[in-house]
Amino acid sequence: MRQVYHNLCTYSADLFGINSALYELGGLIVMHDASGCNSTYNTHDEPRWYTMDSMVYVSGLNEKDAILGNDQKIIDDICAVAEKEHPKFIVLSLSVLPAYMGTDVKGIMRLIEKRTGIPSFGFATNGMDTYVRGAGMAFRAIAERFCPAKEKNLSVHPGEKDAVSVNLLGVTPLDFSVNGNVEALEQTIIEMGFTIQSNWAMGCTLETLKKAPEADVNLVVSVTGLQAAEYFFETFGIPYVIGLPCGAKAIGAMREKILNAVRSKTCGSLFDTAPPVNSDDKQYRLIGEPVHCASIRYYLENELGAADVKILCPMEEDGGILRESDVHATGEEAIEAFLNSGSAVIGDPVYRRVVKPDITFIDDPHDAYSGRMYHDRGWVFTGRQIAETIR
Amino acid sequence: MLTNLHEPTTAETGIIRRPITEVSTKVVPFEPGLAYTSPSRGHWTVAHTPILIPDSYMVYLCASACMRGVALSVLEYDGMDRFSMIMLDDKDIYEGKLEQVMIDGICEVIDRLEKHPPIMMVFTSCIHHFIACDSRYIYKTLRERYPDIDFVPCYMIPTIRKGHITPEELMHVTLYDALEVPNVQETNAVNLIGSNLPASRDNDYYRLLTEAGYTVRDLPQMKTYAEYKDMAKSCANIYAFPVAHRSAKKLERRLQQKDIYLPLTYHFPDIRSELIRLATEALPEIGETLSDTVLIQAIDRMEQEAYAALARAKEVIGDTPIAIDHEVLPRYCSLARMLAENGFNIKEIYADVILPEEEQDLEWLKENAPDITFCATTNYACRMADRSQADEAGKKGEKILAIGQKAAYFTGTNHFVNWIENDGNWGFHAVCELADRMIEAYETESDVPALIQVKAWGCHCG
Repeated sequence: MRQVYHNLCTYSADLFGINSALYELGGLIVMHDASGCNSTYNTHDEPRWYTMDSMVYVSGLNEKDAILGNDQKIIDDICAVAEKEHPKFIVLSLSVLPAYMGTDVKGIMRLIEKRTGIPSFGFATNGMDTYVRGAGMAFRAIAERFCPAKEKNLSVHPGEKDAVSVNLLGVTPLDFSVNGNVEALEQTIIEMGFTIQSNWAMGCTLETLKKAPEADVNLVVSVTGLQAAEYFFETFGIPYVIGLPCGAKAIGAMREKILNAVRSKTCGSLFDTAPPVNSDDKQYRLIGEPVHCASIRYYLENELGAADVKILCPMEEDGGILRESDVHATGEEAIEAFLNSGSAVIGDPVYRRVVKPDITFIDDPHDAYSGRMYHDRGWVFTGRQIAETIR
Repeated sequence: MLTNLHEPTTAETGIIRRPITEVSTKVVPFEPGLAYTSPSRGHWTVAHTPILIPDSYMVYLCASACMRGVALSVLEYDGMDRFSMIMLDDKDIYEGKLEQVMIDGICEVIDRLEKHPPIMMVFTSCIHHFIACDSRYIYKTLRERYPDIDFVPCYMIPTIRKGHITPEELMHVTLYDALEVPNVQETNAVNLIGSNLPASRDNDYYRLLTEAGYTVRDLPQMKTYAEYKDMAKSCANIYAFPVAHRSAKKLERRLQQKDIYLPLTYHFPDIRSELIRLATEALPEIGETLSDTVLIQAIDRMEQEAYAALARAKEVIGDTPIAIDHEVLPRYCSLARMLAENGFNIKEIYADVILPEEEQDLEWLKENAPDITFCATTNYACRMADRSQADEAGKKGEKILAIGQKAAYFTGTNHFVNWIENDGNWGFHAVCELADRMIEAYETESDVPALIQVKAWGCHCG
C-alpha cells in the first residue's frame, strides 16, 4: 500500500509551513488543534524556537468543543490575546479534526478582524498536505494583504534604482535550515551586482516585505515562493526567475536570467535551457524540494559533467520545473525503487534507510524532512560553497 | 444560549505569575486559552511509552501533521525496527475507507516482518473516533487472521486531554491490556506500574518489599515479553503516579490485583505513614515478615539518611533561590514544602494545575512561604516571559538553582537538576538522591538547551 511506511518519515505538514513562513513577521499564528502540532513544530521544524520569540500557538481544541462545533472559544481566545498584544496580523490554520469538522476558517477570521481591527486571515489546511502548500499559501496571503494593487503608488518604482533589486521568495528554515545557506544566498545575490529588496521571510520585518513591489524582479528560491511570485507578476508586473545559484556556472546563468527578466518583463527559470550533452556514467538520483534538487542538478550537469540526473518530487507542487523523466511519488516502495535505480543518491540522510549500501549516498539534510536530526551534517549548498561538498 | 461574538473580551488575559497565596487546588491558576509549548521536551509521549513493553511493535494511523512528531521521535531513539505508520489521506475519510485502510495496512506491516511480534500496539487518532470507525470489526478481523499476536487498541487522541480521562492515563491503561487472567496468582509478587522510568531498588518501599521476600515486577526493567506477561500473576499493583489510577482500577477489576497507591510525596510524615500503611494494611505480609521494631527502625534509618543529605545540601546551597516545576513530580508542592521546612529558599514554582491531593502542602506553603511565586508554563504569555533572571543574578555574583527542565528554561539558569518523573525515586531515598543532585547542580553548569530539548529523558539519551 502506498500509505504504509516501514522505514521513512513524513514531510513537514501544511500548518508548519505556514508557521515557518510567517515566523519572523510579528503576527499571531494559531493552529486550530488539540495538542501535539505545537510541540512537533517547535521541536522538529522550528530551529528558531529557543532563541527567537514568535507568537505561534495551538488553540487547545477539546472533545466537547469539537463535537458541539463551539467556535466561540477560539474566537474569544484569539481576540483576548490580540487585544492585549496587538500583533501585526492574525492567522489561523486547521489541523485534521477541525478541517473535517468543517470549521469555517474564513468566517472566523472575518469576525476576528472585525472585532480586533487587525488584519486576519485563515487557511483551510488539513494536516495532510506538505509544508510546501502551507508556506506557499502563507506567502501569497501576506503579499495580497500587505502589498495590495491599490497601493501601487510606490515611493520607488521598479527600474528607478541604480542596481537591479531582487525579492527572495520562499526562504524558510524548512528548506534552508539555519546553517549559513541564507547568508550565502544573499551574499551571492549581492556579488552578482544586485541589491536585495526583501527576503520572504528570514531576517526581514513585515515593514520591509510591504516594500517588495518596489523590486525589479523576484527570485523564487523554493517552490514555497511561487504563489507570491505569481501574485506580484499578475498585480505589479514584476517578473520572476526560479532557481538557486548553486555553483559558479549557476551564478553566471542566474545573473543573465535575472537581467533578461528585468529587460523583457517575462518570467523564466534557471532550468528552462537544455542541459549540456555529457557522457559521465554516474547516475544521480535526487529527492527533496524541487527548486533545491533542480538547482543541484544544474550544478551536476554543468560543472561535474553528469549525464543522468533524475529527481523524485515527494510534494504536491513542483513549480513546473521538473522534466518528464523525473518522478512524483510519496509511497515508500516507489521512493525506494527510484533511489536504488542509480549509482549515487543526494538526499536527506533518512533515505539512507532504503538505499542499498553499494550506492554512493551524499547526505543533504532537509529540515522539512528530518527536522533537527541531522543539523550536524548540514552544509551550504547556495553560492560557490556547493563545490566544497559535491565535487 | 446565543452569544454575541462581536463583544470585546473581558476575561483576564496574559497573567503568568501569581503569589502562591492566590492559588488554590479548586481553580486553575491561569486562564486557559491559546497554548504555548516551551522547548523543554523531557517528558515521555505516546511515541515513547509503548516501547517499555519488550518486543512490542507499534503501528500509528493518522495524518502527516500528527504522524511527523511520532515518526521523528522514533527515528531519534532509533526505534524504527519496531515501528510502522499508515498515513491517512483525504479519500480515506471522505469515502469511509478507514476500516479497510487500517486492516489492509496492518496486514501489510505484519506480512513484511520476518517474524511476527508478540504484541502489536495500534494507535488510532482523533479522526477515527470522530467518524465512528468500527474498531471492533477491525480488531476482530486482525485477531482472527493473526491469532499469535496480541493486538492492543491504543489511542492518540489529544482532544480528550481535558475530559474524563487524559491521553496519558489512557496510555497507561492500554499498556497492561495484553495481560491475561493467570491460572494462579502469586501472593509474593507485586507490579510497579505507572512510571516510564525504572524504579530505584533503593526506594524505601522497594527495600521493604525485597526484605519481605517479594518479587517486584517493574515494566521499564523488563527484557522479555514473557516477563511482561508474568505481570498478570502478581497480586498487587503499586503505583506512585496518579496517571496510573485508572490502570490500577482496571487491573483490579480484570485480574483481581490489589490497587495500592503510594503517593509520591516529599512530606516526611506522609512518607512514614505511607510506608507503614503499605507494610501493615496494603500488604500485611510485609509487617508479618518484618517485626514492628525492625520496620520502624528501617524507616527511622531512611529518614535520618534523608535529613543528613538535606543538611549537606543546605551547607553547600545556602540561601540560593530555587525554582521547581511540575514535571519533577505530580506533587511538587510537597517538594517545595519539604525544602522550605529544611531551610531552602524556594522562590518559584512553574506549574499550570495543582492536584487536589496537594491541598495540605499548598496551604502550608501559603502560610509559611507566602513569598513563593506561582508561574504558568503554557499560557500564551509565557512565550514573552522574561527568561533573564539567572543573568541578572549572575551580575550580582549569585546563582539560581532549578529543579526540573521547565524551571531551568524559564529562569534561564545553567544550574539545574535534570529531573523528570522523580527520576524513578520514591520516599526518603528520593530525598537523598535529589539532595545530592542539587549539590552537583549548584556546583556545575549544564548545557541546558542541549539537555532539555531531548525528547523523553531516559528513553535513549538519559
